[in-house]
Amino acid sequence: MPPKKKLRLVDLLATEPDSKLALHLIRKWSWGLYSATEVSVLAREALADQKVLLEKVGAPANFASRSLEMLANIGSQGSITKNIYTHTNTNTLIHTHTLNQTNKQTNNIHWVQNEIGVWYGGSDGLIVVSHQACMLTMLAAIYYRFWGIRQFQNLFSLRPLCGLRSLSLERSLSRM
Amino acid sequence: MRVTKPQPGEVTVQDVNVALFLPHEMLSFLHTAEPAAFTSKLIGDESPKDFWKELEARKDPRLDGHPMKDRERWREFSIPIAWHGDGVPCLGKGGKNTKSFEVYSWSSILSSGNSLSTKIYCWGYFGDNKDGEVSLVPVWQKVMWSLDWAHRGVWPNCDEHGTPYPPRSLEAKRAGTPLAGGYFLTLYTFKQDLDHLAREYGLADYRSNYPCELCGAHKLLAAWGMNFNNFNAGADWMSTIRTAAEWNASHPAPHPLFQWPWITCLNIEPDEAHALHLGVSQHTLGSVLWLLVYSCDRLDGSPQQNLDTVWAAIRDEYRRLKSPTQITGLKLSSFHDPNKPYAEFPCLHIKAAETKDLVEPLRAVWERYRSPGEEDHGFISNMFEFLCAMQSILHIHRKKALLPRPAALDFRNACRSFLREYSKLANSADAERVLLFATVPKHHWVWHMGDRGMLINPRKSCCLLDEDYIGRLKEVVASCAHGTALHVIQAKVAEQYRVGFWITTKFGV
Repeated sequence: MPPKKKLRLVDLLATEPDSKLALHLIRKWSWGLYSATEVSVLAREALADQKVLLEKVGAPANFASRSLEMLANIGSQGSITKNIYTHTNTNTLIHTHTLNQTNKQTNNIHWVQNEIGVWYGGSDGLIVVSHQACMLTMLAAIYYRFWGIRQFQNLFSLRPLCGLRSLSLERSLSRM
Repeated sequence: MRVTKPQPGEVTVQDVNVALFLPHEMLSFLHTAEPAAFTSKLIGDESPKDFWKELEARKDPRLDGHPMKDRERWREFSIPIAWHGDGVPCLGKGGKNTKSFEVYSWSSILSSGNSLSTKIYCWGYFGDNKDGEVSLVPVWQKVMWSLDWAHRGVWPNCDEHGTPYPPRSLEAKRAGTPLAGGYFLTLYTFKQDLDHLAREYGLADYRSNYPCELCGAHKLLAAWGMNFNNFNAGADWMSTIRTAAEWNASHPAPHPLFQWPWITCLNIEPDEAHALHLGVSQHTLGSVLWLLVYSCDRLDGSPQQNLDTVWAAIRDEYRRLKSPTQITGLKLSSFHDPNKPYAEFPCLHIKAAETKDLVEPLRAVWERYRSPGEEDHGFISNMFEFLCAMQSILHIHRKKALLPRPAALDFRNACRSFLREYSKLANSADAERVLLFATVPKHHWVWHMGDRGMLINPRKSCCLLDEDYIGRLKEVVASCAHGTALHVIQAKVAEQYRVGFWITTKFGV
């Protein structure tokens, strides 16, 4: 099997970004204000918006920004393609099976909250909630799974680090 | 370099690849790829020709025997640069395992603007990776080689070891061609805090008995005339200001940055942020607050009540003066230990910019509550007047590389007058056996700052901008540190900085 092609944020600068948002995201990343994960997540959301709009006006989807598409495909460490999302527009809350599988393989799983308040699970193949409407339901599910209000508060009172909230999912799952 | 966590079987001290942004390449890149950024970053609003002509007219000793003067039209093409070095705690902050990242960057003296639009990163490393001064020699050798060719203004014809490039190589083909259309960089000033001066450059330590690199002043009580805190006109140490030749003779093996004979102690600039705002002003404001809270006749409440009254008055003055950087609260513990108010010298611990903008409001508050009849209170009023004059001169001419001559003279006089008034207060406090108005080596550096004001605008050698810059780099370092060995972080930082620099240069801040 050929090795996975590595795509890194710095490689994107071979051409000038065709999107102001892409430029903004790369700028924030380069000064350490956004992580590669966050850049990827935000680019993915913006790209989804663009595609919906294009579909409404009857234009082909490949009219969407190429820069955003490339950013959306960046992995959590900026080196592995497509390892943040496996599905889009899914309303799955938490895919327990996938979580457990991932849990065995890697300890680099993070919980991330982006600016619009949607929660995502970390890296390889993790299912995420990409629909804002599911936020309350998801929080309720998490609350239900955690056996006490204190753990729930602990989970959500973590201070942001470089714009991100992170928590080892491995530890969280062990409390479930 | 020392590797903190070597792989099994590997030794601790290893050769490590260090990422450098070579100044001569940056100069060439900016001139050829981003001409607009070249002008804004390096030339600024001032003409190099006017700058150098004025310095010649003022008989700047740093120009004596400078090799660039042998070149034709050097005044038009020479860009004076300031070199800045400082450490910033990035990892494990607050504990004993704090790891500081030493950052070296440079900027043109002629340009003005914010930190990202004016400063250019050169290299950095974690202090924990340093294995003695020797371990950094190859890096400094390369940096100095680059600065040398940036000073010559042409592409190099040999590498840092003096080995000529192979024929037909790209380096050989472009060797000797101009880097930036004739423009070249001239290393002219060094900016840093006093700690960095001693720790990294191996120069006089401000904690030692001989705290000053620029003159022969010392802390020994035997010779009062040479004492570093004797600011009487005509004190003996004032006639011992070192010349370049004297300094070179006394430093046979200096730091690599000082290896050229025309780079000496004369190029070390006293820093306004650390010497004035974080040093002298903080001691002054701390002592004045102490007097207001504990021994002011017109404030007869408890210390906390007095402080509340003073703080309310300061807030009124903030509003009246529209001070840009305001503190949000003032506690007794901000300037001394309230449980032992007589046990130590008061010193107000706030940020440099906050200190700068608190001087004028506190002066007004002091005038409101002082006792008109007391001699010492008159000294304090005078001292405030001179301190405000110093700040005002620097603020009015903040964008100029050189202070106009009358302003430079006023600034020097204000510095000296301030220090004399401060000395009177310190002596008076000593006589009354009260710990007030501490005199520290930074007062001595303020004297030198006033003296140097004729040769460069002290605001241009102020580290406030540089502190902001290393604060931004701290974020980059922190974002690169996750899961990365300590000695590799600097390479990741450079890679990420490259992107940020390119975007900032091309699209603006």
